[in-house]
Amino acid sequence: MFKWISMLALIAGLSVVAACSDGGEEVDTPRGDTPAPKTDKSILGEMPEVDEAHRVTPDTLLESSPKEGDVYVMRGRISDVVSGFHQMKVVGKGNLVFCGEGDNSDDHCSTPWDYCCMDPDELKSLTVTVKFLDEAGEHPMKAKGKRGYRHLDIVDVSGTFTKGPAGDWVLNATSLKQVERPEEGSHWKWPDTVSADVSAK
Amino acid sequence: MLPVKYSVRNLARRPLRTGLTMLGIAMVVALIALLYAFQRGLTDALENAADPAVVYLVSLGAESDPIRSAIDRGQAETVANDLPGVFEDENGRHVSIEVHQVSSLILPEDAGDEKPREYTAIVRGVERSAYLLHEDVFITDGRAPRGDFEMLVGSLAADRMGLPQSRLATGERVLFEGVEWTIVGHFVAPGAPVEGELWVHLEDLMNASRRTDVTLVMAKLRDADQIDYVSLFCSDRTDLEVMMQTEKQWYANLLALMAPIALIGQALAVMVFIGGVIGATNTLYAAALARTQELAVVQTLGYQRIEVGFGLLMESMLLAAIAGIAGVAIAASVGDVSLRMPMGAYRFRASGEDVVVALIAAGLIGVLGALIPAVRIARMPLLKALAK
Repeated sequence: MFKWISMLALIAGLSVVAACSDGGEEVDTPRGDTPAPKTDKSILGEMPEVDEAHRVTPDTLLESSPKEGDVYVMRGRISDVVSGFHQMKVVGKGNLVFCGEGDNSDDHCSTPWDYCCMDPDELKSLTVTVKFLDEAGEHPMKAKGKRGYRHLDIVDVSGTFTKGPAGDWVLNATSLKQVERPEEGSHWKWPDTVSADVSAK
Repeated sequence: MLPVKYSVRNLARRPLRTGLTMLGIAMVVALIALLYAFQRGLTDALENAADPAVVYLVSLGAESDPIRSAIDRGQAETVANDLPGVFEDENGRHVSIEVHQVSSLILPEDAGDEKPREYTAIVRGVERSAYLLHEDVFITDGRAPRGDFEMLVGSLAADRMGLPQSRLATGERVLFEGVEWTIVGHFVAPGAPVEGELWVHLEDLMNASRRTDVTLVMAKLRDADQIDYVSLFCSDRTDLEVMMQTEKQWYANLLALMAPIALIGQALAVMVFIGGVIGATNTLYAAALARTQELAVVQTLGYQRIEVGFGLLMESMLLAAIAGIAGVAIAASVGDVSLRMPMGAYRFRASGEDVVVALIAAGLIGVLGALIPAVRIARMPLLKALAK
């Protein structure tokens, strides 16, 4: 009997030691997955100082085209995030509400960031592609673990503008700052793209 | 403990009551097996059939309703040629440009009627490369359509449209989009919803429907890791206005459409189960009350109340076990049944997993049905029981 008691005590002791040694470094854990690396700090940062003429939103780009080479700070709402890369679509805020917000509160769309409640042509004209290029400047940076941003976040993004294949604007970005995050709808179904950022408050 | 043969003999003493109770439980078990098979088959057909390296490119905004997707033919060709990460072999790039549409099919013999009867058909316009991607499609007779308005018919298409199989036999003709089509073969796709479709040559369907756009571009990638590069391609190529869905997402959307039906199936299974328990309880309670004096005499012979109650439980479990096996046999005899879905059909048949679930249900009915009578008998004072 004494042998069994001492065996149980040993097992219990080992369990306590193992539990205590699990403290370690806090890691970001996506839903149901193994621990993920820390957020990519290289793209999150403060915005550069620019004058008002270089502060834009996607809708203001319709009125006046940006100058090539100039650094701008653009504010908008993220409507899409590319899986595996730091590239996203940003739409003009202005009076633009996403499906389920404001006067659209009766809309219980589970993917409000797709703006399906809006005219597609109008949405297209108010959308800018934002990409964070790698050091070689050719391909977008790969995203690992938590991004620090997700769909429907209002963000400031700094960078220079170029034209895309459809004549749309592309911002080659250097830094991003989260400005505002809307209250999450209970019926929203997050895409896998941002699973690590979903529970981030 | 009361001997097992006592329980067996008691079941045989009242054959009509025992038989009717068994029949009732058997029907409940059969229904539960079939309802479970229905739900499992739906999940298997839509979720588990997904290939992680297959993607669908549809027009922007059409992710939840692929029928609404419309990609310009020229842009679809560009997507097919430029899409990164595509699997290639000696047969070429595994990319398929397809049109999916719902058409009203008319039989030629009805064409002369003022209001001919129309059958709703799911038609898919494909090129030769489609047969590389749809690996679950096997042509069982005839051949693939080559043009000239030929058609390949899925094995569940006739059931789906409510037509006899013979009406869609090889050589038969049907009308839709104002054109007469000739059936040149049949295919099966075990477990996949495409079995309920009619496949035709892409250009024929576009000409007959007078459409200049296609529904989607389907591609098999080298591996699932290429999906991020396809996502990047869609984001960069704003001129193409397409978005990507993995095959898993594609089938998940279809499953979501069927969610209300699956929920009804689950609710029915629960209600049937509860009904079975109540019915068994009612019958066994009445039977136990009719034997009150007999069971009291058993106690005077030295058996404890709990042993008597346990004996009742054993009788009930034995009855439920036999009924459960009969119910499973009834469910298995239903055989292959095809069910219509929003975009196709799937074959549903009770399998091993469904049998296990049904037998567990039978066991639970046996236990729960005997619980109240067993407790009642066990708690009744002996003298009062003997006086009954």
